[in-house]
Amino acid sequence: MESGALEVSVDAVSPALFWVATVIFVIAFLAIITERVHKTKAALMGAALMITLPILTQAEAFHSQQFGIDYNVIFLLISMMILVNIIGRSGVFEWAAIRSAKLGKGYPFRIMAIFIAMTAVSSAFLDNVTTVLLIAPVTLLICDELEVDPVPFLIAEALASNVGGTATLIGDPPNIMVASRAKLSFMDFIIHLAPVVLVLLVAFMLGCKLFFGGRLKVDEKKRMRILAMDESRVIQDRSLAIKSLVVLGLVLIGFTLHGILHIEPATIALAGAALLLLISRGDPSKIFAEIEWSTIFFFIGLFIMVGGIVKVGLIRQVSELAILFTEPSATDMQDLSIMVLWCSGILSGIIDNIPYVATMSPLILDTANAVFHEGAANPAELPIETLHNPVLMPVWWALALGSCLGGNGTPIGASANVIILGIAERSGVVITFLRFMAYGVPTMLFTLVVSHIYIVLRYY
Amino acid sequence: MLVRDAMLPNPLLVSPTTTILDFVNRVLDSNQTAAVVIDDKGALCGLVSVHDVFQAILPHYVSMEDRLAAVIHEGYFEERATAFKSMTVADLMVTEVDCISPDDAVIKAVGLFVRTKRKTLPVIKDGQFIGTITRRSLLRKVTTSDPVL
Repeated sequence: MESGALEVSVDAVSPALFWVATVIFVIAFLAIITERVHKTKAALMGAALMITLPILTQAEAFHSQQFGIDYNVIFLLISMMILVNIIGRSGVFEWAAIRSAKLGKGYPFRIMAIFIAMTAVSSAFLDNVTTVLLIAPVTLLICDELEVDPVPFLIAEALASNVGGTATLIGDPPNIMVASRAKLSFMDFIIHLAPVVLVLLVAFMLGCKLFFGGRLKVDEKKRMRILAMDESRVIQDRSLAIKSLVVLGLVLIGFTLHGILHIEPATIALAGAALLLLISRGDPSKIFAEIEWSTIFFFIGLFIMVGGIVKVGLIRQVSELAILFTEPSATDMQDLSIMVLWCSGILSGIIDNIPYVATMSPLILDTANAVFHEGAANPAELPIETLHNPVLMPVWWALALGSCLGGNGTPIGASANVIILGIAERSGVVITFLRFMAYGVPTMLFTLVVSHIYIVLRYY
Repeated sequence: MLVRDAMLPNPLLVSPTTTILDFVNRVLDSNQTAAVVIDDKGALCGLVSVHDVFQAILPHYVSMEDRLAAVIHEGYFEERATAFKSMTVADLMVTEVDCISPDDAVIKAVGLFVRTKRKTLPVIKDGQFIGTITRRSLLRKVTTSDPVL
C-alpha cells in the first residue's frame, strides 16, 4: 500500500472523535501510570478502541508512518533482545565481571567503581534491564565472598545503568523512539550525548566514593577469595562466547556506520540476531520464549494510541500551548529545551518514560512544524533539514536526557531499578523505597543540573 | 480409596522452635524428607522439608545463574551449613501449605503431588491436624491395591 493513500488531514476529524480519542488516551494513560491495570493490557485496549471506534483505520494503525506502529523501534527491540539472550547464555558477561573484580585486587570500592563503569558501558549498548540482570548475580557473589553489604553496589549499578543507557541510540527505549521520530543516527547520539554522560559518570563515581568509600573495608583473607577465582570456569560454551562477541562487535560496527551505509539500526540488529541464531546451536523457540513480549506489545499499543491523538489534533493543540508558554522561535528554543529537560526528568521519575516519550515526540514534531512554518499535513514527515535544524536539535537532546536520567529518582522510575529491588529482596536484602530515593533523588537532580548546564553551554 | 487409608503411620513432627540441626538428624534417622510443624496445642503451623534447607543454603545468585557456583571459595557449603544449624524450623518452614481431608479420595492427593513440588500433605479434620499423607505412603498403596469389584 502506498503511504500517500493513508494521508488524512487532521482538520477532517469531527469534534466527537476528538473527544472520544482524548478520553480513550487519558483513561489508558492513567491506568498505565497508576498501575491499576497491567500497562500492556491498558495500551492494547486503548489501541483496539482507537481502531474499532474508529479513530484510526486499521491501515493507518498498522502501516502508516504518521499514526501507526513504529517498526524501527519494534524490530530494534526484538532483535537486541534475541542478541542479548544468546550472549547471556554464553557466560561471557560473568567472565568479564569476575575478571574486572580481580583487576580491582579485591578492594570493594575499586570493584564498585569497575562495576559502575561496566554497567554504564554495557547499558549503553545493551538494554538496561538485561545489564542489571547480568551484573546483579555477580555483584551478589562478590559481596558474599567479601562479606560486605551488597545494597550500595546494587543501587549504584541501577543508577549507573540509567546514566549509561542515556549515551547511545540503543541504550534506552526513549532514545530509540527519539531517534526514530527525529531520524537521528547512532553517531548523533554518541557526539551529542556521550560526552555529557561521561562527565556524569565520573561525577557519579566520585559521589559513590564519598557516600560508600569509607564504609567498604575488608580483610586480606576475603580479598584473596576474589583473586583466587578462576573466571574461565563460568564459560561453559567457549565457542558460543566467541561467536556472540564477534556478532555483537559486528552489530556495534554496523550501528556506528549506519548513517554511511544507509541501513536503519533495526535492520542491522535484525541481521545480527538472525546471524547469531543461525550459527549458535540453541533452539530458537527457547530464545524467542525469553523475549519480553509484554514490552513489545506495550510499545505496539502505545504507538497506535498516540497515533489516535495525533490524528484528532490533540497533540497539535498541546504543542500550541507549549509554544504559547515557551515562545520558541525559529532562532531560539532555549526555554523550550529547558522546559522539556526538567519536565521529562521529573515526570520520568514518577511515570514510565516510554509512554511519556511516545507522547512528547509527536508534540515536538508539531511544534517544529509550527515554528518553522513548514505547514506540513504530516509532521512525521518533516524534511530532515527541519528535524535536524540546529535550533531544534537541543530539544531532542533535552527530551532524551530528561526522560532517561529522570528514571533514577525513584525505585519505579526505571525498569532497571524495579529489577534490582526485586533481586535484592529475593536475596534477603530489602531496599526500601526511601533508601533508594536517598541516593536516587540526589543523583537525578545532579545529573539534570549538569545536563541543563551542558545544553545551555553547548547549544546557546 | 480415601486419604485416611493411605496416611503415614508415624509422621515426622517438629515444633517451630526445633533447631534445623535437630530436624536434619531426625530426617536422617527416618525415611521421610519433610516434617509437619505443629505448636504446643497441636495446631498446624506449616511444613519444613529438606528442600527448604537446601534452598536456604543456596545463595540466590546461584539460583539465578548456576555457573557462578563454579567460582565460590572452597569451604563455602560448610560455612553456610554451619550458619543454618542453629536456626530454628520457624525460620525456614513454609506456612502456606496445601492440606487435605481424610475423607477426600486419594486421587485428589495424587493431583496435588503432581501439581506441586511438595512430597507431604498434612491431613486436617475439623481444623485439627490428624496425620500426613506422603508420596511414599501413597506409592505403597499402588503396590497393594486391587481393583474394586
